[in-house]
Amino acid sequence: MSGGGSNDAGAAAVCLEGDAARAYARAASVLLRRAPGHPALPPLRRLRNTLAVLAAQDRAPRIFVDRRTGLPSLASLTRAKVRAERAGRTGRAAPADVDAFEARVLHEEGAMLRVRIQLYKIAGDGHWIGLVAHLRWTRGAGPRWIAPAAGCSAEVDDRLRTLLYTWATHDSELSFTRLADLDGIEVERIERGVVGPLRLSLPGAGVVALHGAEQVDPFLAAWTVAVRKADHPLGLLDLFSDACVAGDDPDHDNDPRARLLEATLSAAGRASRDARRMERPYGVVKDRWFVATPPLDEAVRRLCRRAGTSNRVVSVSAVALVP
Amino acid sequence: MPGSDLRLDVLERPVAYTGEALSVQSLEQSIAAERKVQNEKVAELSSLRERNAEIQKALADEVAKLRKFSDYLDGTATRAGFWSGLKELLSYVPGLSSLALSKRSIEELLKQQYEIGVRRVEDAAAYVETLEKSEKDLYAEIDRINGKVVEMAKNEQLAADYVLELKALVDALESERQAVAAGSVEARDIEAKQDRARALLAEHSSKLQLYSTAEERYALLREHTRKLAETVRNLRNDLSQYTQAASIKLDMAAAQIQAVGTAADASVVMLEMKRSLDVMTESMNVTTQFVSDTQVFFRRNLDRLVDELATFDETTSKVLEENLAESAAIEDARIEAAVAKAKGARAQAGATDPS
Repeated sequence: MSGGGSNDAGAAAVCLEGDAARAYARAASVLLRRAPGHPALPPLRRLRNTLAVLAAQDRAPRIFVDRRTGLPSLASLTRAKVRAERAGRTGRAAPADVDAFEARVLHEEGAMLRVRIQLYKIAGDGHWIGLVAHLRWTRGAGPRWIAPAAGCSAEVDDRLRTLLYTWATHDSELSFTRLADLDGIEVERIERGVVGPLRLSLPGAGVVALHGAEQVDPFLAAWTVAVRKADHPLGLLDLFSDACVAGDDPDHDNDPRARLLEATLSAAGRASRDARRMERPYGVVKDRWFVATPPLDEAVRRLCRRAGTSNRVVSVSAVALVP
Repeated sequence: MPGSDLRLDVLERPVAYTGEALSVQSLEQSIAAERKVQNEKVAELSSLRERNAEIQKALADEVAKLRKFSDYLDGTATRAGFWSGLKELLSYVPGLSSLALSKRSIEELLKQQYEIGVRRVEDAAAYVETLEKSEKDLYAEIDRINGKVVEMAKNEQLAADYVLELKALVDALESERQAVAAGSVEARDIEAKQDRARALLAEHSSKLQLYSTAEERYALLREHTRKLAETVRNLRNDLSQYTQAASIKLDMAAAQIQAVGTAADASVVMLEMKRSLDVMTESMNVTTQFVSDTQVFFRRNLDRLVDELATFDETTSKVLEENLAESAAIEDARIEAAVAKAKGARAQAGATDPS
C-alpha cells in the first residue's frame, strides 16, 4: 500500500497523511467490524479504536502503515495508545495496547493450578497476534512458574512469559512443544489468532495498492489483478487461527494460504517431531477466514475451493468503505 | 454684555469622550485588570518551567538506562563480556531451544523503551499546543490593549482641543473684562463666564492629563505583552522543531524494533538492537539537550519579564499617585502643563498634516 506521504525509516512502513489517513482508517475499521471474531484474536474493537484515535488528530492525521501487512505499524499503535491515555479514552473507547499479557486461574486443586494465559502483540512481521494458552502446573521441586494473585489473576514467571511472548509469532505447535518441556507444566491447548494482511485500495482517497510483491501467492495475484482492473474501493482482510490441542485428534488444515509445519520440516526434523508427538500426543487445527469486497470475495471463494478448503468469506460492499 | 465674536458656545458644547468615564481610580483598576491577564500567562510559563525541570530529570534517567543497555550489548559493561551478552541474546532466537530461557524479551523491552520515548515526544507536542494557545491569547490581548491605546489617544486629542478652546475663551473674556467698567453688569457677566470657563478648563485639563497618562501606560503594557508573546513564540518554535526531529528519530527506532522481532540471525538481532538503542538514545539526547537549553531560556527570559512587569506596576502606581496628588494640589500649574501639552500636540499634528 502506498499513499501521500513519506516513507518510514527502514522502508517497512509508509506514512499516510490527511485525507488518505482518514480514508484508510475508515475503510480498515469497516473491514475489522465485519470480521467474525475468535477467542485468540486480539480485540478487534480496540483495534478499531486505535484507528479512530489515529484519524481523529486535530490537524493533519498521520498513520504509519506497515507495507508487509497493510496494518498500522508499531509507531502508530504506540502513538495512539499514548494519545488516548492523554485524552482520557478508557474502557470501551480505549485503543489496543502494543503488548498485553494477562493470566487467570481457572481451577486450583491441591498442588495443581489450571490457568488461562492470554497475550497479544504487534509482531515483528507487522501482524497483530493474539495467543491463548491453557496450562496446568503442578507444584514440585522445579521453578515456580505460576503464582495465584489477587482475585482470579495469576503471576507468571518472567521466563515463561518471555517464552510465550517470543514464540507467539510462530506456529502454536512450537509453543506447545517448548512449554511441554518445562518442568511441571502440562499443556492443554495453545491457540493463536492473527489479524492481517489487510489490503486496501481507495483510489479516490490516494490510498493505492502495493503491486509486485515478491512471493508467489494466488491470493496476492487475485488482489493485484482486481486492483489493476478496478477504479473503485477494494478491500481484503485475512484472519487466521492456529490451535495445538493435547490429545489424539488428527490434524486439520483449513488454511488455503499456508501448509502445516509438518510439511515444511526436513526428514530429520519430521522424525524428531514425530518422536516428541508420540510422547505427548497433540493435534493441530488451522483455519483462515476473510472479509472482502466484490469481486475479490468471489475470487477468494474460488481460490479456497481450488485449495480444497472450506473458508468463511464475508462480503462487504465497496460503498461501505468510503463515506 | 460680552462681544459677539466670543466663542461662548464652547461653554455649552458637550465633549464626546469615548469609553467609560475615566478617573484615576478607574484607570488604575482597568490597568490592573489588563495586568492580571499577563500575570496569568507568566504563571503559566512558570509552571511550564517546573514541568520542564521534571522532564529533564526523567530524560536524564532514560538516557542513562539506554546507555547502560547499549553498553551491555557492546559487552563492555558485563563481567563475562560480549559472549555472555550474545549467549543470552541467542536464547531468544527461535530454533535455539537448547539454550537457557531468558528472563526478558528484548523485543518487549525495546517496545517499552520506545513507548517511553513516544510519551516524551508527546509531552513536548502537548507543550507546543499549550504555548500556541498562550501565544494566541497574548496576541488577542495586544489587540485589546491597542483598542484602549487608540481610544485614550482620541480622548486625549479631544481634551487637548477643548482645553485650547477654553483657554482662548478665558483669555478673550479677560480682554473683554478689562475693556468694560469694573463692577458694571457687563463686567459681572464676563466674570461669571470666566468662572464657568475656568471650571471647565480645570475639569478637562485634568482629563487631558489622565488620558495622556492612560495612553502611555497602556502603550507600555502593550510592549510588555508583546515581549511576553514573542518569548512564548520563540519557545514554541524551538520546541516544535525539536519535537519534529525527535519524532523522526523515534520513527526510525520503531522500524528497527520491528526488524528485531523478525530477525532470525543472532548477529542481525545484535546489530538491529544496537541500532534501535542508539537511535532512541539520540532521540533522547536531542530532547535532553533541548530541555536543558530551554531551562536557560526560561531563566533568562521569564525572570526578566517578571522583573519588568513588577517595575511596570511600580511605575504605573507611582505615576497615578503623582497624578492624583498633582490634581489635588496645584491646579493652575496642572492647567498650564495641560495647555502646554495640548499646544505641543497641535503643533506636532500641524507639522505632520500635509493639508
